[in-house]
Amino acid sequence: MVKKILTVITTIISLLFPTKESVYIKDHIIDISFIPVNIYWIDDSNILLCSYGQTFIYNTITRGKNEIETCEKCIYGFDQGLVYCKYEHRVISSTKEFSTTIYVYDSRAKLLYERNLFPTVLPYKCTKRYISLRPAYSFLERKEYVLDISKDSFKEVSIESKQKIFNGITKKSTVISEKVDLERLIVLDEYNRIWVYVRE
Amino acid sequence: MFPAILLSSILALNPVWESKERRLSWPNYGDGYEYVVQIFTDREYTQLYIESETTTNTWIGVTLYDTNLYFARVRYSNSETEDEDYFPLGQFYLNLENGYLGEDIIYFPPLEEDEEVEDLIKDLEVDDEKKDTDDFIYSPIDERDQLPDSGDGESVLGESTKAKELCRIFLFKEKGEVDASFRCDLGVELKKVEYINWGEYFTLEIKGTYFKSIPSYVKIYECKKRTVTDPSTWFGCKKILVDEYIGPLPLRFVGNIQVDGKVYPNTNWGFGDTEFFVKAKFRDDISRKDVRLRLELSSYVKGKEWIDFLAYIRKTLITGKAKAPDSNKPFSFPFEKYIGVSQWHGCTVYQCPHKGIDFGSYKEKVLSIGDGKVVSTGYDKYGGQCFQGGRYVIVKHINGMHSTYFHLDSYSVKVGATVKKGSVIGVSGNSGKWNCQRLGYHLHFETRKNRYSSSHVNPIEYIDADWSMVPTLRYKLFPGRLSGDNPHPSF
Repeated sequence: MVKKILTVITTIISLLFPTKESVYIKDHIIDISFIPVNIYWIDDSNILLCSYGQTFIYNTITRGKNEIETCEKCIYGFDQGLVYCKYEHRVISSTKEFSTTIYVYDSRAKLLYERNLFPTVLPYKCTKRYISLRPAYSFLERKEYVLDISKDSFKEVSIESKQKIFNGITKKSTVISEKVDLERLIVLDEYNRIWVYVRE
Repeated sequence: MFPAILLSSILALNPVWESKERRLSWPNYGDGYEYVVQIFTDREYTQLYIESETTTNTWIGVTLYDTNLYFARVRYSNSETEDEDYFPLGQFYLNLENGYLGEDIIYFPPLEEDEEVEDLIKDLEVDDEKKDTDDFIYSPIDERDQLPDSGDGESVLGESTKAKELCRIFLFKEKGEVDASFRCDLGVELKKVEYINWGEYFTLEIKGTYFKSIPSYVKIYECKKRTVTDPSTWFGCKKILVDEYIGPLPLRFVGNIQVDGKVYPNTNWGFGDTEFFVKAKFRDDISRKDVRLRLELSSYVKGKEWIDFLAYIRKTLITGKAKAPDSNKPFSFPFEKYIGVSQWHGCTVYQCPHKGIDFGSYKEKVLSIGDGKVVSTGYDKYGGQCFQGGRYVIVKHINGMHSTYFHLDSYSVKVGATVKKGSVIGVSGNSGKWNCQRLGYHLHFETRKNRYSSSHVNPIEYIDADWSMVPTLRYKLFPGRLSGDNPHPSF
């Protein structure tokens, strides 16, 4: 009964004093020539833009940009500091063999973790706790995997394609990263331009 | 004293150029012809359309009230002969504040009337007679626009920009918005306009060049805060110079086709380092419509703070009558409809060489690309347990070439059967394996000079299709898919 009364009161209050919805507006275009595979928020303003060939630390306020030295067959990530995941692939002749080896290093190139796997996969999200992976070649069946480092487990996970709706972001654009407090968004538009949006 | 201040304030609020007359004339098509002038313009991204009354004269005078870009054409018609067509009257730009009217097409030109910019206005002032001439509009930047020598003999404008003229840009910031005003050579030139009738649809392809950056001298203005001591701030915005920037200005373009004022959605485009192309597909013939290339330019400058701005460039396109596709390729597309590609032929980032084209088809009917005879079918295990081509069909064509179809879900022909161009030979699937892994649904399709896989050739060279309508699938997620012998490397 009390719960019902509280719900009614809350509803009445929310109708009388509607909270203003957040609206996002374009701030600027990030001037890079690639679409990041992943983006990590390092702090309030800095993000790590990662792809397999190029990695940048980018300040979403000052627009300062620093390229990180490229590592071969690897992708950078961030987890209380820079990390990177290296991968090696090999040709196999039966499913009893492994076709992928994953290594996780910290920023001082100290090996943190190593694991042999089947199938042939690529890391796309690299942290000290877990790694997200996809089939290494785009002509292979579309799947997603997670390598849980703390449990040393590797499993297939369902593919999530849900996208949050943010006021001010058009349907043709995709929110590819959001700051934890949702003050800033990184958005890929229909022309493959990458924008920083800010909450008004 | 007071009337003088009042007068100057009124003048500041009411610019001298409230409207501008323009005479539009066209050829005389003979007796019995009537003419209607149509003028198109944009306002806040909406197309406005004005039509004159019918006349038998070969000119009219129009009064324009907005600072904007205008496009005009005249429809001439003869009710007796039922002849009707359009004659383009060109495009012109009107800036009411400066009385600037010409054939150029750069967007947004707010110019100022305050003391800070008086010198600039003087610089731009020309005789009334000269205002409407191309000379004025396209006049090269003269000495007064050159930057002072930096002292060390080197350019202060940076390197690797092909634009030689200094671009003077005026940015006006108000309420978070930035209006950009400039008349500069951005290097945008159309090199090829090709309009093709493919039977069921039409395509318009434009190729051109542009500058990726230009040397610039940017002045940034804002409204001065209202003060009791400055009467010119009492009734409106008094623009004052707040910042300047000298250096290279990056130009980042995206492109679209506009037909009768509407941006056409079905457009592919690509911008390289100096070249661009835009291609659009239409269901109907657009040759008699108002067709324009619309380029959206985004740029930014760093003065005391970052300032981003957008500008638009429009170029009218004369498509002419649609041409028939120019092709003598012997084979047809292996599906009933165009299906996108997940890996192109050639040296791709995934396989080098990739001997065919992978079409991202899910259980689609697969067609023989030409007349011929089925020479092989079966289940391919070229690499044992882990590397398999799956169910396949190989057809030998009458010119001696072979086409191969792998990873089929099923096939419906037998060895020795005669097949016709376009006849169904199977259904695409995901049979087979790669490194012991299941493949995604796709057709691996090859064209070969003979039966051996080593004689593979790029199918694009032999298949009569509009390859610009065959996109690379999900290339945003997998940019590597764009690699190989992709006929359109940016999509």
